[in-house]
Amino acid sequence: MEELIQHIINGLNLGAIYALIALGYTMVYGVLQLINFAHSEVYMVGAFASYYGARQFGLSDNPGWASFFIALLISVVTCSILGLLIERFAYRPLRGAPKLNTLITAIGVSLFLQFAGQVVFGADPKVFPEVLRDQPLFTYGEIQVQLFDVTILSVAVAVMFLLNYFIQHTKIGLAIRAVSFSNRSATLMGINVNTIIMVTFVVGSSLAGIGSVLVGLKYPKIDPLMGTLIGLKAFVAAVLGGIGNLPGAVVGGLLMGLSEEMVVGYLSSTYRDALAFGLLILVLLFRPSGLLGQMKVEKV
Amino acid sequence: MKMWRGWLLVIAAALVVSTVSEFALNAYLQQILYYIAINIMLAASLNLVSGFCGQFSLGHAGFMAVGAYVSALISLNFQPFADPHFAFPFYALAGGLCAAAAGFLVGMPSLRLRGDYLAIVSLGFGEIIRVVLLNLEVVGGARGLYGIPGASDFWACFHMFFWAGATILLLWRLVHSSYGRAFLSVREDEIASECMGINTTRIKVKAFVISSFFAGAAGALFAQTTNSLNPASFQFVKSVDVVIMMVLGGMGSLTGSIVGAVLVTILPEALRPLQEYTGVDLRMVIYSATLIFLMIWRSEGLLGSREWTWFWRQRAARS
Amino acid sequence: MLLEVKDVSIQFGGLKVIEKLSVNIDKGELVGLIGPNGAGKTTAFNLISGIYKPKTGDILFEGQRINELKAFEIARRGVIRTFQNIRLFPNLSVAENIEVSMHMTCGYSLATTFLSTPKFHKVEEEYRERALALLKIFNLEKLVDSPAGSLPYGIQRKIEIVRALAGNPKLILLDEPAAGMNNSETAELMALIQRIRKEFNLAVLLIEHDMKLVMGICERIVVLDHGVMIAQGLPKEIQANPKVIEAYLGVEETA
Repeated sequence: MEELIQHIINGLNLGAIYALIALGYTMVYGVLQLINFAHSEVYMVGAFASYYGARQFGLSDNPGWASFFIALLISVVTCSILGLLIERFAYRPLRGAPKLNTLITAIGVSLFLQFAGQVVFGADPKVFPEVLRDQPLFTYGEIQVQLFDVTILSVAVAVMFLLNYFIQHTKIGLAIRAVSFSNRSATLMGINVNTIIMVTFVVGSSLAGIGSVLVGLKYPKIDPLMGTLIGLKAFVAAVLGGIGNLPGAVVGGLLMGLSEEMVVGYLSSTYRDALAFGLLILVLLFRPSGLLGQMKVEKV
Repeated sequence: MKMWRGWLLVIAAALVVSTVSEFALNAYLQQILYYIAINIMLAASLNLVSGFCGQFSLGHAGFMAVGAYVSALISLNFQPFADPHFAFPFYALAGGLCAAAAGFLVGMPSLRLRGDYLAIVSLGFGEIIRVVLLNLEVVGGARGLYGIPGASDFWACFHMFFWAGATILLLWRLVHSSYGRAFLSVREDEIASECMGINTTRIKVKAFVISSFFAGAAGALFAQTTNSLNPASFQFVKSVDVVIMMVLGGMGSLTGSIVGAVLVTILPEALRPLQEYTGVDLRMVIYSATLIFLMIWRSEGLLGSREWTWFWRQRAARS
Repeated sequence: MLLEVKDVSIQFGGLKVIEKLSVNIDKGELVGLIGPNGAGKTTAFNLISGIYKPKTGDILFEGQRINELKAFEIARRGVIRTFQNIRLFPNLSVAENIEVSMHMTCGYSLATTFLSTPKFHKVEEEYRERALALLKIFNLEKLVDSPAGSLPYGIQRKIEIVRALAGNPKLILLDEPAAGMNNSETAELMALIQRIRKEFNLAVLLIEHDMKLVMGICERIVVLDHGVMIAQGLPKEIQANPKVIEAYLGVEETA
């Protein structure tokens, strides 16, 4: 029983991170109907930005909340800028083109960042700086809850609440929802669609940046290809919940994290990565619009 | 007579290439030539389903892997002829057929849906195949398979280019037929196509299965020429490779697929001195940057949807 | 009775787009479907051609229920349509567009295609002949190899009709065939519709806003407003029907 609870705690943590990254995918898909393959590399760059920033500012010499938040800030800013650059120079020129072209471009950007990362950062893994020191917070029998676990979960949840408020209760959030629904109608209502899309990329990329620092805390090994696998799983999570649907991304992320943890804990860790694809195929076979998504009726 | 003209051309071309290869090229260049043949098959087959039929697939490496491993397993355990050369076509056929079956299983459920779904499912399929192969001991897991029967002589080269030529010939005929028009109609406007009586799901699956067959056969040839296999050769990057070949040549142009395959095979080798000079592998960086530039500035690739016959006609018109 | 629509309804979300529509079309009839914008006319076409499935009611073609059939199955039974916002295959030539409709009765198999047998070439030649013959009726045979997407709007509309004809329909659904045409073009179209109806033994159901065309060639007119049929009858009756006038022009204020 206690083992189960430990797995659930771990699963929720993992799921929270998947959810953060999945939200980035789903937001961009909502406004552009584009699968932003490069999102996973933005995540990776965030981790490296914190790495170099930490070295620059000596953050790992003073582990603590200040260092942690500075690392977060560095990552968020870098990711936002990168996200904006990608949108402006790779996606915007293709705004009117067939969706396929943008999809291929997204793949190109993703690969470019991976390989450029290998050239610039070096292909061998680095260790994420210790911006925060871990300690056991409380123990209950076999269950151990670490500071990191609580930090990750609370930061993720706080961010999601903020995002929800932003989307549901602010004017810009409303504009984003409008653009997700219909690009053209939104323009006719006086919304500057380009600006909104930029905002969406900034928000989505920031979430990836936050996610990468949280992951860096618990799994400090970083390398230029680190985004691929987690990006793919987060993407599956977004599809699972219904791509384009924000609460769906959260639900999908948590489900993904929990099921992965259960597979590793009770079945075998060799097939943990295949789980993501297996889930993906199952979802697409039986409920392609995702758990919370709705099938769109095409006007003829 | 039109029936046989194509085949004669294929045989003649394969003979010419093999002769040049045997007498004018060293082992290194020969290997590049073999990869060109394989890549032509991959690019052309992907073009059928993505360029002509409009169903974007990101899992071509998966079908290549199925064909490669199946034919390798068969050839390792079953050698019916004294001279292995006679068996090569059958191994390739077996690989192709199994890949086609896989294509059917993957295509049937996912092609019912419209939109981006095939891209995602095919990507997932490619990755699942790789992970399964990585974990399956009977195919050697991460170490892979060794000592696969194959050859690098005149007849092996002929065999490979015969397959490459046959792929182009058969796909050409397919595309210039009522089925080809059906494929194109699905790409152009799936709803209109269905209202004109086309069973769009069935047509898409047909394209997908035929495409997978040739990808599998290409995989089998790959196994025969490298004599060893491991899952690392069939990662997502390989699927992207094929996408680049197809896009560079022109989606919807078989001639373009040949051009794209040749360029993408040769370019990394041509850039190798650069890598040795700078000590850094810039090839994939250049690759991916090329893809981005292509999509933004010339998404129709080098040939667009034109075939060599178009250029022929232009010359005729001018003279 | 060729087509029977019985009490068909469909809604999107909360919007009742079509409510309890009943309409019959017999072999060889030329029926017009009119109504103000948003009345549900194209939706009716989408229901009949199988793009939408009715929520309630039945659609029968040649006595058989076609509610559950997919669009291509309905096309194969003999109901072919054109589209309000032209849906030609833009990157294909005119001939290729037309030949697509012939695929459902394709005279050769995949194997024959791969083998490129004499039979294959003969059948391909026949397809091209048929396409040319159909184009001749519309005086468009010169455009046979032109890319369809770059042709003028009015010509594209006509080619859509030719493409529909190539599928050997028993009932053809024309969605605003005269849109964007001037008077002489409309008159020409009216003659063409009459001609193909006779030559190919067709029943025709057409949506149109051009009243000259509608009143000119339709034997019977069905009027839709807000998803409901408000009148049905001969052109003269419809013209005088107060409900129809109200739907199009509104009622005088009595304040």
